[in-house]
Amino acid sequence: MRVSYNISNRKKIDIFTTLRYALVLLLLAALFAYLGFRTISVKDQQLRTDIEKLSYYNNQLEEMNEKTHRYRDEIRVVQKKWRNKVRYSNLLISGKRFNIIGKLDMVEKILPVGVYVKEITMKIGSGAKVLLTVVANSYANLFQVYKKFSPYDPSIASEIENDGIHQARISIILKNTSKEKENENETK
Amino acid sequence: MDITKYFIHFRKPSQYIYAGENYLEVFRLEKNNYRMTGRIDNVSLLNLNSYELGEIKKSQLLDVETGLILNSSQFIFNIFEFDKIPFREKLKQDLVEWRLQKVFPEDVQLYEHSFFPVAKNKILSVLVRQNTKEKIEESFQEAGIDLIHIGNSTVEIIDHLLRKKSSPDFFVEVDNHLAIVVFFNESSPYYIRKFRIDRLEDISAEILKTLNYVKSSYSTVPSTYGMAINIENFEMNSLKEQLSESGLVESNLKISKKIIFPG
Repeated sequence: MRVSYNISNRKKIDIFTTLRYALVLLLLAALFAYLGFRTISVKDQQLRTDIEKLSYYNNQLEEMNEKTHRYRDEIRVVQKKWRNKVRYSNLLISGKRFNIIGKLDMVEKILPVGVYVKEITMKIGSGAKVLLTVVANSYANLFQVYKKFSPYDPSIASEIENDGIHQARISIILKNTSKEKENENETK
Repeated sequence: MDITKYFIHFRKPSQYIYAGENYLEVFRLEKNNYRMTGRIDNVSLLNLNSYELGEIKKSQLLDVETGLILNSSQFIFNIFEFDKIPFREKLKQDLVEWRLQKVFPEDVQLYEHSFFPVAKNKILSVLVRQNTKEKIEESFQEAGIDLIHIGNSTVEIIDHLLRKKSSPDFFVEVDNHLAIVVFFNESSPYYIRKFRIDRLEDISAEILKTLNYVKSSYSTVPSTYGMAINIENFEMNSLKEQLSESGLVESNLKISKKIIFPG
């Protein structure tokens, strides 16, 4: 605190001291202006660097997003392939449940003596349908075949006779065995 | 904001006149110190006309810029305490004048009113009659004395103590039969009393009376004091002894010299 008391009307300004103070003030103002400018420019530089970094990170983010989309599409394709493979594998597994040997065994048991199978066709997924070409040395034996196959919904596609050898193309429905039915239930 | 207070500096006179109760003292700046070069007794500045002042100039003064330090006989001091002092000069002035009108019965317009913040919440108000100032300036001008500074001795002592880190609890300024006691707390003044004494022996009694008033009114216990006594042949020791008996210790601050010049 200072108390500068001078009530004279003829006060005279001390130009030298006032100018000296003014100079000091001017220098201080210049110093502060310089420091302020420097601080602002440093801050500006930092800001520019930050903006550049931000821009770089944004680009990176966009690239990563693009990659993510690409990977997702690839994953979708792989998943689709995989599902198909799984579906195919499941089909194979279900095919294994189709007891071919059992059906051949049944046909062997049903066929009478003097008749042999020339050709047999069984398709997986075609249910219990079995297509047979049987050959018999007499019509009686062939008739025996028809008779034996009668419980299996036989359908005679063709019947020919050549030098006493009778040949017939028959389709029958061999229903699943009890074991096959058990397997089906387990799958469900 | 009054920028002159902070940025404009006024020239210091190389010659000062101290106007005491009934005498004048002349000081000149020599080697950065003011040295008394003359004294004129039985003279009251306010009773001098320009001719008499011109004669004094011829005999005692140099033809240089001159300052005048008046003793406090023509001055009225007040210390106002506020919750908060406004920063803006106009608001500050309105506030101080409003407080002054409450305690000062006369028309303030007749006075040269100056005020100074002396603490965060205290303002020192100084009043001197406009016509007193005008008369002095006219007389000096007519006498051809370049008067560039008119100050007051008590304000100069207060200014001197305000610049110090520590101050005595109060100081006593005595100029013949005029005495001023200024109390300080944490280096800022809070109470001023000006009084006249018929007999110099009564100074200590008046000081102690003032001390008791301050103790009861401000809840403080002043214990140190400084002195600025300008009386020839005054027995200082007896006053010091009387104050010492009341538990007061003289402070070793350099305010005991007769006059403190603005600086």
